[in-house]
Amino acid sequence: MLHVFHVRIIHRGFSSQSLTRSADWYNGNVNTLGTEGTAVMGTTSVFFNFGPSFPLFLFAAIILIAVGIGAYVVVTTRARVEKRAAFLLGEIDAVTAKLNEAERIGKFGSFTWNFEHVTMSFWSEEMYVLSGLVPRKSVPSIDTLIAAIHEDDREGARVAWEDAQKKPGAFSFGYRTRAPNGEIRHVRIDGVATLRADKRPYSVQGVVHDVTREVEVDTAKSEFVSLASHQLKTPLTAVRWHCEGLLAGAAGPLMPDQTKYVLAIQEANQRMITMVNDLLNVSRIELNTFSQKPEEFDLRALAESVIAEQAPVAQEKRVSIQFSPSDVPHIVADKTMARMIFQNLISNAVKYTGSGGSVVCEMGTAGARQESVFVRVADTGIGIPKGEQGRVFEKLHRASNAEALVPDGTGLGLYVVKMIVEHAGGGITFESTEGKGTTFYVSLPLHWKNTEESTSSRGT
Amino acid sequence: MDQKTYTVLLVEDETSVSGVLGSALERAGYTVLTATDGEEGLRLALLKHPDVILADLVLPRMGGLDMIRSIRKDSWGVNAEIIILTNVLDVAALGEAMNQNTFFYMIKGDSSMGDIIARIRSRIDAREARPTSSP
Repeated sequence: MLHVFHVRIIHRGFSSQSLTRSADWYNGNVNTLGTEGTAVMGTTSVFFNFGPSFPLFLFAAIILIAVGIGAYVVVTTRARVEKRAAFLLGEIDAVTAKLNEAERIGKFGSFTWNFEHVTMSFWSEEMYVLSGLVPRKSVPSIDTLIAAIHEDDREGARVAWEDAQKKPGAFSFGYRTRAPNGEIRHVRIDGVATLRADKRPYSVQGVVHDVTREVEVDTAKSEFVSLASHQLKTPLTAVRWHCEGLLAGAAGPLMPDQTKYVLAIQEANQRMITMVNDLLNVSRIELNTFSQKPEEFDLRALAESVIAEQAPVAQEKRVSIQFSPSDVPHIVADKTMARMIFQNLISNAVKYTGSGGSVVCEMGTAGARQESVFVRVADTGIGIPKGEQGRVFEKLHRASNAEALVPDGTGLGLYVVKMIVEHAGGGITFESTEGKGTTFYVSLPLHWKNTEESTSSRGT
Repeated sequence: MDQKTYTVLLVEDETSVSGVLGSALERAGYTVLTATDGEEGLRLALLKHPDVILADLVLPRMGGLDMIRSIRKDSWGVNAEIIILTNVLDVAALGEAMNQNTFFYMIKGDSSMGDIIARIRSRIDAREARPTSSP
């Protein structure tokens, strides 16, 4: 490329027009030039003023030779460029092949949908495999992709894909795909969407990972936890009932000190039962074997009963609990799960708030759109350290200050709450300042998602 | 004060659990029969016609649900009082237990012996209040 450019400059430099112009220039500025300049000027003047045929012929010959050289340079350069281009194309093919290979081994595919410039849309080879589609010339539409999604996940995935195109920025979700040969895969999509100025989607791009193996491992783990917890419950039950028997005088009356010991055993055992129950709830939610019985009930009464349950603990700690419900309609939900939400949020608030502090629980529909009920649980407790706020809902994670204050928590409570809330189709968020307090905001649909599906599938 | 003593059949493979619950029931005035597997539970149920059967679901030889199904095929067993007492809360088992007309499903670890005895008493009271006076 550089060569061609040079050649053109040279060529243009020798055009007769520019030579004429230079000659005029020389003539007009003769006095300003030095000795050598004058000599050159003199020669040029001979050419133009007297025009003898011999020097003109010489000049033409020079031009011819120059053009010849130029042409040679152009031709050889072109050949070199073409060779280089062919080499680069080969390189690109090799890189593409390597990328395809890497994607195949790493089990991920890449995609780009450009809604403005359709030709810029792209699917890698592995993308077809992971989507359960046969490779084709033009990039499949999102609808085609959705049609190949496992029927149980299709509707959820359609909503997720639609949402992904509406909001600019990163998105991530997962579902199962079914290949033409019936093979089912779990995939996770991580991508980024860009919008045009008028908010219409411009492009969506990202990668699809095959997470089948991870999901299987995770399921096996949850099943293990479930099994182990069940096994643990039997000896825990035996300890519980033996304590009760001893306290009831089954083995004769107890001395005051003996009673104290048995009560200590009973209390520790009860903590273990609670922990095992927490683990079981998590594995049930993860394995989707949680019994879901949607029923219509009064959320306000539920919250009141949870608060009443927590009142003795709060009183002992001198923490006040204030409950201010506004318009709270009945909801159709799984009562056990709804209870777990309040139980975890309110007991956490009480647990992590110091003496003299307060816990406030508010709920209502907050306006005309009566589709959700909003719950706010605020405390004046220890708060969540800024650096740890991103991990609050992570399974088994406990904030460092919470761990220091209450050493025997499981780190499952908020994880369970988030799982339930999201499963129901709601959302949860919080704000917190370390040392000042934490406020959780929960939105719950008045009619929980997923509850009816489970009941109907249970009936079959 | 009560002349009649009621019989409770406890079908539970874990003897540490059945032992302590059995003695609590005896202290509460019940006659207690124990079986450690489903087959024995079925045999004792049909032989002794206990007033209440407390059955675990996870049992050797014959599972709890199979045992209940077999009891329900019997002319006496069709109306027997059965309370499921287990640590396995799974949806399918719960649904099936309800279909088998069992009256209560209790989770061992979450119940005190007091709860269980109270439940047995209320089942027996409800039964006594009902049909026996009519014929």
